[in-house]
Amino acid sequence: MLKLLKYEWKACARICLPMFVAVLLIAAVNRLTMTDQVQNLMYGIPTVLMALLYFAVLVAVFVVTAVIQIQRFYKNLLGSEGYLMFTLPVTVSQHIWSKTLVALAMDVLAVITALLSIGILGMGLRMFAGIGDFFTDLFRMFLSDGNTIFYLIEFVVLLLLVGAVYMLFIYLCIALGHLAKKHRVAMAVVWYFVLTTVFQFLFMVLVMSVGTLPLDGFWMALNDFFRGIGPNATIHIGMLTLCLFTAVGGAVFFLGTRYILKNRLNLE
Amino acid sequence: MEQKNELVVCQGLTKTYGSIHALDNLNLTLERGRFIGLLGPNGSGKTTAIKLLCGLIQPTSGTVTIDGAQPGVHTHSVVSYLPDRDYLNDWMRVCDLIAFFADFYADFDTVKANDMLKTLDISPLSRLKTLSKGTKEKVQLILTMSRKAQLFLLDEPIGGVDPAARDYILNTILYNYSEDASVLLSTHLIADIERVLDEVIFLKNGVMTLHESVDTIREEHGKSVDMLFREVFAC
Repeated sequence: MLKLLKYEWKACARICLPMFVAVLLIAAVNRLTMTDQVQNLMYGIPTVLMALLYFAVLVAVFVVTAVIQIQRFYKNLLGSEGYLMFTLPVTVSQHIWSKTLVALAMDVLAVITALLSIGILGMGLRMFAGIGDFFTDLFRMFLSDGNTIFYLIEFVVLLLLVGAVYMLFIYLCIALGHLAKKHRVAMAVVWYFVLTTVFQFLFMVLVMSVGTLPLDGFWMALNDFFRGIGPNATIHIGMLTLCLFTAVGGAVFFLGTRYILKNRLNLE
Repeated sequence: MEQKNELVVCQGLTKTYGSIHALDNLNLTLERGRFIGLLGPNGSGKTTAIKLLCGLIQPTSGTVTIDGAQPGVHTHSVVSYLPDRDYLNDWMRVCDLIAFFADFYADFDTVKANDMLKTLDISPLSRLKTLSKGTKEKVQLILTMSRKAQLFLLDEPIGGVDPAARDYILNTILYNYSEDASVLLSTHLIADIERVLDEVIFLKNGVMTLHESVDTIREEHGKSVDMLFREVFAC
């Protein structure tokens, strides 16, 4: 498993990391061109060009990261590289885990890069002091009210889970597309839209039906319960429930993908 | 534990693509320590059979076991497979690929791989995408043959390389598998490999028409495998 992670990381990092560094560098150059002297140079054209370049590269980071994540699954497992990957003595689960974890790591790095680059644009070198202040404040909040830090952790965990589950959802769509005899990429896209629509529909039905169900007694009891435990505990329970539901969704996508890759694999 | 002599067992193995029977009801047992030629014209089901053994495609019906197990983690650890296509990450250098194989296959012999690279004058530092088609095939073959696997599945290993390298490759195959391992090699270039074969399998339109030892063919039919093949598959 660690070896799979290592090679998956290498394959993604060789493209993503230089891109992340480029964004930070361009942000730094932008910071320098925002001074008055440069802005007055040639009607401010260099400054505007640099700013445009920055936004283009920032958008490119997210697009390229997404493309690489999809390509790493599709090409590396279901393309001709699958001939190598699926004859390695590792389980299908290990393949899916390694892809998901590294994809998630790339997402996290892309977001951190974006935040850092905005920090550089806005504050320049003072940003580092800003980061220090942020963590000092965070620590102070933790000392004054432990709940704040737990909210933060729960929120981050939820974000990570949502990221991973979304990745697993895409993998499932690609795997479902693989079941078709021809036009497998197109079928994956079709599956994506079909499943997204179905989930939205189900969610709507759920929301609408919850109100009409004869569960008044249950809602009253729940209301009393939450009142009894107070707002802090209520938020914690809410966040953890959200995490749990997200994780269950992820588990379903994971198992679906695993079933297809294990029992219905038919490499072209 | 005593090893059973049966290495590969296929029972009623069938693979269909729509209405086409790529492989039809293959019943086959391969023993250890044999060099077997899987022979047939293009589209006769050779690659399909090998991919089924590797678990890269799933049978429509029938079963296959290698070393007593269905294709899976165990069989992957004892089977060394050379596909009929470029299947390696072409951005990797040859030495990266050697490290990759050494990482995943406990039976991979790095020293042997490097020796073979040296003999064929291939630099370990060159990137795969800069190599010619023939050289790439040599690298793939070196990686496949540097394992101490129980079964080598080689799909058209000599198709794209020049005749001079062909002899070296065949000798490489011949001297690199141990006594209790078997080689299943698919090709339509029979004359080149005839001298090394112990037994042959003829496939025609997905059906096995012959599974015989080379000696029997010579004794009973009084002709070489190449001649018999030309006779059986005459257009």
